[in-house]
Amino acid sequence: MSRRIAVWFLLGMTVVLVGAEVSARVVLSTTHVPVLEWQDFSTQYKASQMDGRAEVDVVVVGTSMAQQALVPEVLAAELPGTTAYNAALNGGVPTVMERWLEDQVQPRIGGDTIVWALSSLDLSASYGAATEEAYADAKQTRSGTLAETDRWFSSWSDLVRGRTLMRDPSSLFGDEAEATKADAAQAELEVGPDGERMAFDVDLTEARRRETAARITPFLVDREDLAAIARVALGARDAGTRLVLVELPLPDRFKALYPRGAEQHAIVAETLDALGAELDVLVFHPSAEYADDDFVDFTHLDAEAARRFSTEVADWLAGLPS
Amino acid sequence: MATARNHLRALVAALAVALVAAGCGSDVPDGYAQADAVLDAIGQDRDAAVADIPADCTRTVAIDEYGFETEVLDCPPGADPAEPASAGDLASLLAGAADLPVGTFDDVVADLDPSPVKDRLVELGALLDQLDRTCGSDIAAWRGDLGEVADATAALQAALETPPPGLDSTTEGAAIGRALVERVVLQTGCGTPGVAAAVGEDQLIESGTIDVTARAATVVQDVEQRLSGSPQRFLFYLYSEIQYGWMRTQRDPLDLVVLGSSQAGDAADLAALSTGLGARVGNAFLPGALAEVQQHWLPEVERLTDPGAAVWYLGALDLLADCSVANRADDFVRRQARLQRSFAPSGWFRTIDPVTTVLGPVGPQDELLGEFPKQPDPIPEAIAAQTESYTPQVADASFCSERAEVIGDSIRSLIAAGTDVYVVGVPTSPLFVDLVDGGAEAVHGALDQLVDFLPDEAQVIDLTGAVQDDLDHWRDLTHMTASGSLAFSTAVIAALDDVGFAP
Repeated sequence: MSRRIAVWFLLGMTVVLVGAEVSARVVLSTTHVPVLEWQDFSTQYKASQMDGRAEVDVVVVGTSMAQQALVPEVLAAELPGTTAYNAALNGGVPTVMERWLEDQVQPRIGGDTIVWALSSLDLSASYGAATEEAYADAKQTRSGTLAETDRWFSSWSDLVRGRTLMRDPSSLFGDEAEATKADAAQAELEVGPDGERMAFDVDLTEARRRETAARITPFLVDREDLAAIARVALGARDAGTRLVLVELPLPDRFKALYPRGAEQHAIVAETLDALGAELDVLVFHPSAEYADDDFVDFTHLDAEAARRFSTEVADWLAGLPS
Repeated sequence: MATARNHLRALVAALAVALVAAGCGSDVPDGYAQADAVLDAIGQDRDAAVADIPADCTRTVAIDEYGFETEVLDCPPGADPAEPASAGDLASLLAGAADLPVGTFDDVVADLDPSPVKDRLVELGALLDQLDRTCGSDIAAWRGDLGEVADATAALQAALETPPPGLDSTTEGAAIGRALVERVVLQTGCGTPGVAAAVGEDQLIESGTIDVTARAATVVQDVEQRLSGSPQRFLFYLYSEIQYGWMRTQRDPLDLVVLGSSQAGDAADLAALSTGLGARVGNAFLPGALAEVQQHWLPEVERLTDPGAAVWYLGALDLLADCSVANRADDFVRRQARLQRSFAPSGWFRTIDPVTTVLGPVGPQDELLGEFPKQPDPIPEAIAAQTESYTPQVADASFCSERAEVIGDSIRSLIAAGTDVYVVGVPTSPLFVDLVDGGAEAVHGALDQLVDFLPDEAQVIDLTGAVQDDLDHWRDLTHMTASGSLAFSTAVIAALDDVGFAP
């Protein structure tokens, strides 16, 4: 008797689960609301972009500044026979980039040369903790057995993959769903074919200025970020991969935001030079002057200046001993 | 068999790797030696984390539910740099005065075509500059300048009756309005050393005015930084930032929080409510915010104050007046932009001294808990202005069922979050009731109709007939004076006792 009950119970559970899975597949495929599995839709899009790509020669890493400033198409054109991909992320400070590079980027697209483009924001102790937390908390980058189990189930079950959406039906329909779709679409629009960032709307608002200033106030070099760069450099040396550090240009309007004035910006170059010496890594400093007009906001180069800077970096790379 | 051998090989290999790793663990580079060498090279202390924060404070940064970075400083009392400063600390508090958000005014005015409005704006701008200067150097002149600013805003309002081309849009209006209000609040010259002491000796200036000026500057600056990039940011105009400021500093949950529009600001006497109910009571009212806005605001109140109970003051203005719910919160922003642009067109800003209005709630944050300064007497000009404004709205009043649905949904959310909810029918002046189609019966009836939209757990207390005996209890048609507020709060205490409210 009890055995029969158990069989019926198992059968019932199976029917319920299959029904739920079918429903989830129907809902997700008909509403077209994307399920966010990475820290943001831009990262999600880049992960899928790299999945469909062969190994490349040059990989760019860093924050959104690096993502916008270095255009792989230009690098490849200036370095004949070379392929390149820009794997930098929004908020990709060194502590995030270390994990992203080693766990996600290199297993997908390799990279004989890593170009790590850095700025004040990569080094500032006042910036990056939130992104680090978001990265560590995202489904695809979470650590631990539970997270791995979750990823395994999500790889074949829409019910598990989309459970956050399923729990809140309002996220599947109406304004919230449209906003999610718009976020995902916007992220795809702003990522170029080789991973570069293409957000060229001018934003010099007071809010932007304050947000940027807060990220370097107070301005102290973060020991954790330095250690992350050092670990990547040491690992690259052991693996026979070349790592170079590139200082990103910044406008005067950014430098004026340092709490102790523009003179504080000199710390960035000093730090990169010290890193280069300590890690035996080559460091590039921008030789050309980049004026305020070359930037769309307080940190990101505009389209023309990004190509100019990419050319400058490519020329420098071309002159390096192989 | 081959498979078994492969498994064995894999096991041995894994063991070997584990043993090597265990034996060589101390040799795995963690990068800190190199990091410290770099820090030494640039002359930075290895242990420095984030400077300028007291050692006994904890600083955490997180991405909150709105997707923007929130920095939290958790400090013991007295150590928090965000705590309101004492008068003696004003100089350091406003040391970063150049960063205060006062920048939009001059740019917008410069772009305007020549007009009386532009002339008045230029005049007001000069007065505000003067205000900044005199606060730090000539207290008597500063006091006089405050009065001139009030006069100049009245002149500006008159000029705005015929706005010049380019100023009729909400964008420019909001920019100017916001800048004006902020410049009244954020008088950077008040941070000059010695000013606080000089003001303190001047009996003609309300005690603490300069102090709250500094507090307002701090709160607004702080909140703007925190909300930067937030999808909620559009909801926050100056007043809600000030409310947000005190709520954010709460370390203990409130027993009871008052909700509602500006009517709730005037109608709730927090001292009386706290004493009478034996509870810690705060007032999270927002001027001009009907349910369409409250639905966005209440989650913030819930999140920041974690109240045991909420009492929502709702009345004829909410249920019978302007029932439009189109554009919801966007409409609110536009409305506030218009109000802030001229301080006064609907009566609320007109009825009170703009300086007191803006500065009033920004007292010692943890003590005031959103208390709004009460006015002592009726203001005939305000009554006349409101009569003109409200007559067409309520002369043919019908029940706002769409808004009632929003109210019901908002209350369900509060209850789901563990907050007991009391809906209190808030009265208006008898003069207003006379304007309403159907009079007092219609007002009572509207509250009865509202019940159908509410969850069973919400308790409804109809006090729409309270405070009707004396016109001196009413500053204008909808807002109470200090005596009215005390009388109404006494009635609320008795009613809450009757329904078994206990903190």
